[in-house]
This record gives sequence, C-alpha cells and structure tokens, in this order.
Amino acid sequence: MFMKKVKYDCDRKNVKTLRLTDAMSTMAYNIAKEENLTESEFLRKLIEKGLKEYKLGMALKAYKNKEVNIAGGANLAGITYREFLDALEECGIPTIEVSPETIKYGFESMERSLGLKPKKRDYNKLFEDTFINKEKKK
Amino acid sequence: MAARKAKPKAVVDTSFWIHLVKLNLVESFTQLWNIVVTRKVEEELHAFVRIKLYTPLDLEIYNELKSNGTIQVKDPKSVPGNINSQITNNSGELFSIALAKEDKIIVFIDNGIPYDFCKRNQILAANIVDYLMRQYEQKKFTKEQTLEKLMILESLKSMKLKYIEKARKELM
Repeated sequence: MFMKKVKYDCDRKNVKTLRLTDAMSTMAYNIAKEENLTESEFLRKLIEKGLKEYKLGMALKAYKNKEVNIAGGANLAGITYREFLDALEECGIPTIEVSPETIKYGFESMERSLGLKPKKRDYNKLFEDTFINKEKKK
Repeated sequence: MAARKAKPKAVVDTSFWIHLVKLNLVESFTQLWNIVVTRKVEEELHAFVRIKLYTPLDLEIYNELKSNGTIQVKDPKSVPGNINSQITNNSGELFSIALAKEDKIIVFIDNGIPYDFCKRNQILAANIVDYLMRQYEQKKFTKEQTLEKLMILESLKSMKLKYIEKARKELM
C-alpha cells in the first residue's frame, strides 16, 4: 500500500504532543519509511483517516438508532448521500422498513394516488404470505 | 368515448430512485405515474465521487428521462415548520415531503424516518417494497421476477435479511 503525499495546511498552534508505546512508535517509523513519508506526514494521514472513519461510524450508529435520516447521516459523516447509502449497504444496515402496517399504508397511498378506492385486504395475511415462511404457519 | 385519464404525479426521493433503477422498475413505474423530483434530490443524485470514469446508471437514466420530459423538476413553495423540525434540514427528503404535502400527491421514499413521518401526518407515501408487492399482486410480475428483485434488495442489504429469506422460501 502506498500513501499519496498530501500537503496539509497545518498551523503551528495545532501542535499536539502524545506518548506512544514502543511498538506503536517503531511501527509508525517503519511504515512511514516504507511509504517514503516523514513520520509526521504518516501520522497526520493516519489521524485524518481515523477521524473520517470515526465520523462515519458515529453517523451509521445515529442512523441505526433512528436519530438521523440518510441525508442527515451523510452530513454527519461529511460525505455524499450516495457514499452514505453505500456505507449503509456495506454495513448491512437496512434503509427500508417492512411490516403489515407499512404495506397497508403504502398500498392505500398508491391506490388513492391512482384515483382508486383502496381495496380491502388482509394485510397481515399479505405480509405473512410474502414474508413469513410456511413452516411457521403450520 | 371517455377521455383517457391523465397519469397522476408522484414525487420521488433519492434512495427510492436509486432502488427503482437497480431493480429495473423504471418503465413500469412511469406507466403509472409522472415523476416529479425536487432540485435537492437532483443535487443528491449528481453528488458522487468521480474516482471512476463512469456516471452511475441511475443518473444516466435520470438525465435521459429529464431531457425527454418524463421527469419534471419542481420545488415546494415553502416547507411547513413541522416537517422542518423533524426531517434533516436541506435534505432531498425534506423538500420531497413538503412538495407532496403542498401538491397533495404521493411521495415515494425508501428511508424509514421520513416514511414514518408521512404516515403520522397522513401524507400519501409508499416505498420500493410496497410498489414491488403491489405490482406482484396486480400480476405485473411473476413470482420469479419478484423473487429476483427481492434478491437484489438482499444483495444491497437494503432490507432486513430475515424478510428476504422468508420471502425466498415462500416464493420458491
């Protein structure tokens, strides 16, 4: 893996001091050397990547807890709507809720919109017929 | 002979449109509804990282249908306070719901929170699974076609896996 050299607009006032373990320090030194970066450049990139991932994790958690919608999650993570939708898919977080109630509302809405009188249906049965397997019904 | 009834309008949100294209349902959908999209949804569809040299298929189809007039772009005149306070500011969903409310038309939306909001506020709303199931009920799709589309949703992880698994067992 090669890291692209990026010029950061860093300010002197943003100097942070932190202690690393021997293992971390050696690993950072070795990887930076392999990537042809200075240790500072490498650590800056690592922090940037970590912050992005952290923000995305927070946004995914907020979406899962129904605190934000897709656009809100994307804003929180600082990425586009499509990128956040892809991240939800990658993490297996569903965006579509299905239940007899949602199906009923959806069917009736579509029929009203099409100028039709909503048909009377047993939505629990319709839901079960489609989404519950036969074994359970036995 | 009675004049043929004009197709009703439907507001389509970003995630619904993306799923509609992925499931190859655009043609059947446009036979029933004239699509209206807000500028914010258009903006969300256009925002993608150009790391690859291609345009997403849903955006290509969107542009084509917009240029031939099948898709109309329209914004709501205003966004009511109760929508603004509950749906993320400046999002496609917010404007889509506001437009559906203002024009008293249906909004197709796949995202849970805004869908629930529509239900609570009596705004006509449906998601991609509702649409797919109604098309199946109307015999527009066979069991196999419905199953195939459910499997695409499974691969996208857009729907809870347990439902897909149960549907697959039922349909096969």
